[in-house]
Parts: sequence; C-alpha cells; structure tokens
Amino acid sequence: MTDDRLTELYRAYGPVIYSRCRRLLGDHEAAEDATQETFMRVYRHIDKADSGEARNWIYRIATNYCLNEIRNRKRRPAPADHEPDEMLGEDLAVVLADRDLVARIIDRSPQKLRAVAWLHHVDGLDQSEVARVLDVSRRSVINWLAEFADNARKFIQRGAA
Amino acid sequence: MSHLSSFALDDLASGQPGDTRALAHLESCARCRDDLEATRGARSQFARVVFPRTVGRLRPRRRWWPIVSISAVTAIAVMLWLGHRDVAPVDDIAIKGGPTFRIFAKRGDSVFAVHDATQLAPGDQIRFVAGSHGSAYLLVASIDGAATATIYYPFSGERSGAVSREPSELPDSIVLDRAPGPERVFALFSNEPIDAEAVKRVLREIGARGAAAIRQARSLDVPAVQASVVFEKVTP
Repeated sequence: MTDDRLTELYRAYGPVIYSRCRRLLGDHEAAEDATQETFMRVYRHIDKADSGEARNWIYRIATNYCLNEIRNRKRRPAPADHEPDEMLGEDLAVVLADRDLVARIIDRSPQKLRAVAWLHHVDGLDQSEVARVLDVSRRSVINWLAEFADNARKFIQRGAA
Repeated sequence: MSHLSSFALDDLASGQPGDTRALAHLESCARCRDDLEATRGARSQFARVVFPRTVGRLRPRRRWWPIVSISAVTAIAVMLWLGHRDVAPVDDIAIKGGPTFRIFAKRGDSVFAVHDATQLAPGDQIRFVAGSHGSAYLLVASIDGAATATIYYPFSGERSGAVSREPSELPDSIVLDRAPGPERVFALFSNEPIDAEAVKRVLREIGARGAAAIRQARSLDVPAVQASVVFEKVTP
C-alpha cells in the first residue's frame, strides 16, 4: 500500500517537482537526482502526505534540498547585465523582479530567509501560498520577507557605493 | 498583475484551464510565456524519461541485518554467517598489495558472492565489504544499462567517505532496480576525497557508449586505486 501511494504521489507531483528542480539547479541531470532524492524523503515520511497538502509539503522538501545543493556547490548566478543605479526605497519591487539579482541576494542571505525569499520572489507564490508550503504562519512569512527586503536594500546600496 | 507563480504555471502546463486574468497576463508577458514553455518541456521530459527510469529506485535500501564490523580475523566468521556450505570461497577483489572489495548478493534465503558476469535479478539485494589497508577514503559508484550513474557509498554522497582499514560492511544494502543489462560497480580508494559528480560524469560517458563499453571498462580515468565488478541483470 505504501509503495502504491508513493508511485501515485510520484506520478502526480513528480512533474511539478522536476520542473521546479530544473529551474533551481539549471540542468536536467541534477534535477533528476534532486527529484529522486525528494521522493525518497517523501517515502520515509509518507504518513505525512495526506491528499490536501501533499503538493505543498513535497514542494518544501524539494526547495530545501535544492537550495542546500546550490549552497554546497557554491554556485553563483551569472552576474546581472547591470547593477541598479538608483536608490531603491521607492520601488524595491521593481528591482526584485530581476530574478538573477534576487538569486544573488538570496545566495548571500541567512539560511532562514532563503526558502521564503525564493518561493515568493522567484517562484511568485503569494504570502499565503508560501506559508502553506513552509507550514508556517503568514505573519512569519511577512516578517521574513521584510527582513529579506532590508537585506536586499543593503546589498544593492553596497553595490551602488 | 505580477508574474504567474510556479504553481499557476504548472496548473496551466498540466492542461488545467487558467483563470481569465492569468490568460490575459500570458498574452502580454513574454517572460511568463517562456516560463510556461519551459514548464511544459520539463513535464514532458519527466513523463517520457525521468519517471520510467527512476520510479523503481524510490524505495529505501533495506538492511539484511544490523551492521556488523568484520575484522580480518573474523573473515571466516563471515563465511559461517553467510551460512551456506556450498557458497564459493569468498573471492574478494583484491588489489595487489592494497585494499580489498567484495560484493555479496541476497535472493530469498540464498546469499552468494558476486563476480564478473554473475547474473542478478531486479529485487536482489547487494551489499559491499571493503577494507582500505591504508587509503583513507572510498567511493563506490556504478553505471548501469540505462546509462544511469549511482553513488552507492556514501549513498548519494557528494564525495568519498571514510573507510576502515580492515574489511567491514559498508552501510546500507542496495535493492537492484529493473534497468536491464550490465551494471559495473567501481570501488575507488584514495587518500583525498574524490568528487562524486566528477565520477558520475565519467560513468555516464561510458554508459552512453552502450552495454559493451560498460562490460569492457575496468577502470576509470580517476586518480584512485580501483577495483570493479560487472554483473548482469536479467529477468528470472
């Protein structure tokens, strides 16, 4: 029964997880390894995979795994074509729409902010979706995103200096 | 409207009808159209290639029994523990003057040593016994008939793991999957950790050349003292 359930989850959510890992890791071999590792971890805790929240839970496992892979490999996204040369207080949202720049900022952010920043600014999930994926309160997500925004301003101001 | 989320893109890529705002956004946003196309491509790749290749490998490795440290003095105890009087003498892959590496297989109640050209079946379990006699690190990796490279020790690890001087069982047994044809296992002993990804790249190059290349490749272009065994996976 457990094996059937795992296959069912793999068939249902494997595509979105594989697609996500491709986006995070950049190549199909690494994405395949990451997808496999994700579902092997799912198997170990398969009692948690109730139908309602399974996608969010598996998404969280994949996100954490891939971000750890990126950190361990010391990957750095390719430099943006330009640095924003204006003070950002007015429109940080515009700057954070640059995914390459956001990835660089995330790479330099504390561990606790990385997943929430990636899910919101790169994956485009809203605060409630991020909260469900990470299984935390929406208030926590708001606080972490605010802390990330502060980090982003400091990072860009250092670069503009 | 801000860009479409990865969930929204995945829903669209899977064929679910998008809401009118999402569809209108797509018409005006090249980035999201590119993302949607990339998502569709990834989903297709998963269904055609990744799922069939990997679904059989998701089960955890099962231990046959608790890990038992086996010293050289108790090598005979290994034979007795295997409990099969007719088993062939333990034929370790002994590297002259250096480390030793052995593979055992279990099928039902039968346990037997694995040598070159031994026939194994999907579902058989294999385990490794290794002793470095001096080298500090070991990486055990394989390439199979589906050109899939796997790091067996440390399992899915990023680099070599520590290895004991005297022969001892490595953690975790491996349940063989359904990928047909030869599978060659390499034991790489070294004094510095070896990068697993680099080894996997070399293995994939061998696998891409087909079954004959896997059978013929007795060593890798990797700085390490090496041993390897190739077995054949057949459907009983």
